[in-house]
Amino acid sequence: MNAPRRAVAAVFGLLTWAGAGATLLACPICFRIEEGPVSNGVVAAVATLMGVTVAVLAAFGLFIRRFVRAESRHPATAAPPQSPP
Amino acid sequence: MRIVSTDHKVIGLQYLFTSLAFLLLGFLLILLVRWQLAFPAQPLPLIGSLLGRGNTSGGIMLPEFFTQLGAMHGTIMVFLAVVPLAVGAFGNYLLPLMIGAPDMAFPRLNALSYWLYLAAGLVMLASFFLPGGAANSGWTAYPPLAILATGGQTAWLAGMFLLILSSLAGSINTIVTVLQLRAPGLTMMRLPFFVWAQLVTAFLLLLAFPPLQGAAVLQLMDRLAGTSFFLPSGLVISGQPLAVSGGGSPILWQHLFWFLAHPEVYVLILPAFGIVAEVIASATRRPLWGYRGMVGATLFMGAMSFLVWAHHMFLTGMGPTMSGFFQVTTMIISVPSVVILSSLLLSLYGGSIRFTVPALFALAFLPMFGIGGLTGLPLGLAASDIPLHDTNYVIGHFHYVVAPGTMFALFAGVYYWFPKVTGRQMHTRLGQWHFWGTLIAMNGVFMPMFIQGLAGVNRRLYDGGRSYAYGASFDAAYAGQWWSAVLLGVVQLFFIANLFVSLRRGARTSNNPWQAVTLEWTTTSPPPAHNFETTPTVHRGAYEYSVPGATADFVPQDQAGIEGVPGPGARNPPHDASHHAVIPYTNDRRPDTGVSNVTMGIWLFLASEVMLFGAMFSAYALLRVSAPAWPNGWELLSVTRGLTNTGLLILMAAAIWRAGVATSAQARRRLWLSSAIACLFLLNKGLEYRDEIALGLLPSTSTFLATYFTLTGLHALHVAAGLIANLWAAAGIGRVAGTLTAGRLHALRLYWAFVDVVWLIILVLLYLS
Repeated sequence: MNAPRRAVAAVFGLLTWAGAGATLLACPICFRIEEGPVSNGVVAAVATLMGVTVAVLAAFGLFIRRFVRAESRHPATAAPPQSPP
Repeated sequence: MRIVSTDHKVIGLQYLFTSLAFLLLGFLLILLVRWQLAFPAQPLPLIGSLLGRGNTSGGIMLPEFFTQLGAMHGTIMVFLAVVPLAVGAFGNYLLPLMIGAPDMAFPRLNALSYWLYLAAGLVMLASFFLPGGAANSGWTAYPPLAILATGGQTAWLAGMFLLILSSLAGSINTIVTVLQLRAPGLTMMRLPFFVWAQLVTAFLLLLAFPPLQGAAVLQLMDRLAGTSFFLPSGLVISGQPLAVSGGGSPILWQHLFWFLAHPEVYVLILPAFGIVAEVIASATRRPLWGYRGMVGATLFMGAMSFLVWAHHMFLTGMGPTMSGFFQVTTMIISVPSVVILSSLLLSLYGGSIRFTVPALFALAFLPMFGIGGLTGLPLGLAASDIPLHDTNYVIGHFHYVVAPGTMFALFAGVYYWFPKVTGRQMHTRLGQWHFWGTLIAMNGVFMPMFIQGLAGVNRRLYDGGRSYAYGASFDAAYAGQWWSAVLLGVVQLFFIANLFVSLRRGARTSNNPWQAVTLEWTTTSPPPAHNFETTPTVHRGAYEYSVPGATADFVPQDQAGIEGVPGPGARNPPHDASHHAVIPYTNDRRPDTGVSNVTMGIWLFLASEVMLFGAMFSAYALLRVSAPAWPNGWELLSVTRGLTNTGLLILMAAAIWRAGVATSAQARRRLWLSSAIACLFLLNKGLEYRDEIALGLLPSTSTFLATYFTLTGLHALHVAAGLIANLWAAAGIGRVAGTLTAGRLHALRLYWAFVDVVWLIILVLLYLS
């Protein structure tokens, strides 16, 4: 990665970090209200579902990476297998 | 044409006509709503007295019927019309043709998918005739209202369950077909963008729908078994405390519903992008600008669409941490949309555009979707979303994405591929009238919604908000929207007439009337039974228009050289005639993907199952963390029985695992053994339920027990389904080909391993903690 790209990545990362901060973009209704059981429950639910989702997407990502490498290894004329009726 | 067929073209056409019928029905429902909004307290003309006493009074629509119409319009349009049209019809008909395959990977599963979809639609429609009418809690079915609603809501949930099954079957089929059945030479980067769009859409459907399936199960439990997954404690209805245990959370439904419903937006729009890309490339005679970038943006959008759902929940009080996070992810996901839209716009630059009817619709899609997309940005930020939430502004935004957005693309697709399906052209002048009328009318209906919403007018108001000061001045706007809706209906008659008349009397065309390059245009119109006379071999990308040196301004994908374009049938050397005649079963791995069709299919199925149980565990997390007190499982439940069942499942998995490497006789014995163990598991579970119910531990007693009965019940259903599959596989040994048995055993091994893992998690969460 060259210097301009590093700079762009750094700025993007900084903006993302800043954007993720509750102080900049948080909901004005609940801003500065203490986290309670309801919001804690939502956080737990979101974290669980997001964890599962990211794991599944990561598995697909690994498959795609393997697939891309295999596609480059095999000749483009590789015939497809046949499938069940 | 056979009604029950496994041919992807027949199924595609079945999807087409069924979804168009639903589209018309959904439109007619909202036409009634628009009348009520334009002229409240005035009798519906002509049909007011025909709609039944429960729905109208003196020909005037009753509020209860108004809410049913709104809820069912949204449900029908999103779930029964637009998505099936975009994915079921276009995907089914075109994907195998575009990748040079004889059919979908699993044709019988494909047929099942269509019939489940039809059944789902009929169940939902039948609910209009139930006491209390159809579902009336909005297409989002928010609790507590949906839990307390009339029986139509149960039919809505049952229909949704069937629809999700249909969608899962279809998405598995699409993914396996695209990845496994591509013609020789058709590498991923040579795929038409339409195919990429359908592929990513299939992934979205595969992973996003199961959480809604889980949510539907929970809502059914609340409605039928008296549980309180979505009902908080202390709920008072009409002054009377609700007699339920409480302890649930309405936010849980929103959490699970929007996990599907936001990706659903991309399910609606990605196929539209795909269609527009094909039409624009063909109409401009230029390659798509930034094809690789568009593919990358589509993949990124697909992945990100799973990480933005809670921006629909800013008003739930979910807390600043979640709010901040989802605002950032929402802003990020707007980037790939802009990349795709910009690429399509730039593709026009320097092109010699042919303003055909499909091109008109595709070109109009760009600014219309642009309006829809840009008006969505304020809704992704909490500060601006809060005043706009639930107003007509949201309705306007969403409809610009889906109606003049996606629908324009779908119309473009119908006009564009009609010659391929029928061998005839649709009438151009009628098509132009249809286009201009639709463009004017749609903007007439939806543009005022932004103004109404910004003024603060909420959606779903029976009188259109006239009882509020800020909504009292929109009489003229509502009347204008009504007349625009009428015009919209009238110009659709041009389309309907054009479609059916052209089927019989349209001018005959060549196999490739648009001079396009993708594979479907290299076969006859309509295509033969197995699509291609010889398996095509692909030599080039999907957008080779105006190639320097070519005698024509297009070079088909199966054309080896670029010196001119030979006549039809001469361009393909015969590849392997045995490949296209039938689709025999094989467990062969495709060299590039490294897996067989059935292996990929079962892994995709398991991925959807992971999402289903992931959603259920997510519900468990929300309920447990937000509960003031949560009981210890070992004090309420029988740990002994739980551990016994764990042992049984491990034994069963071991038996089935070894069946895959045994001889036929041994495999059959092991399948019978594992089936017997599955029966023991179910028996033990049944006895456990009996003991608990005898002790007064019912699903309605507490949220913990509701979770326990639902999770273990869902798992037991999976054991029962596996048992049936075991018996089916055992019965087939010796009767079907060895490769078929091997494939079934492989699938069963993976399935039972998954069922074991789920049980272990349930054991820890419910029995041991």
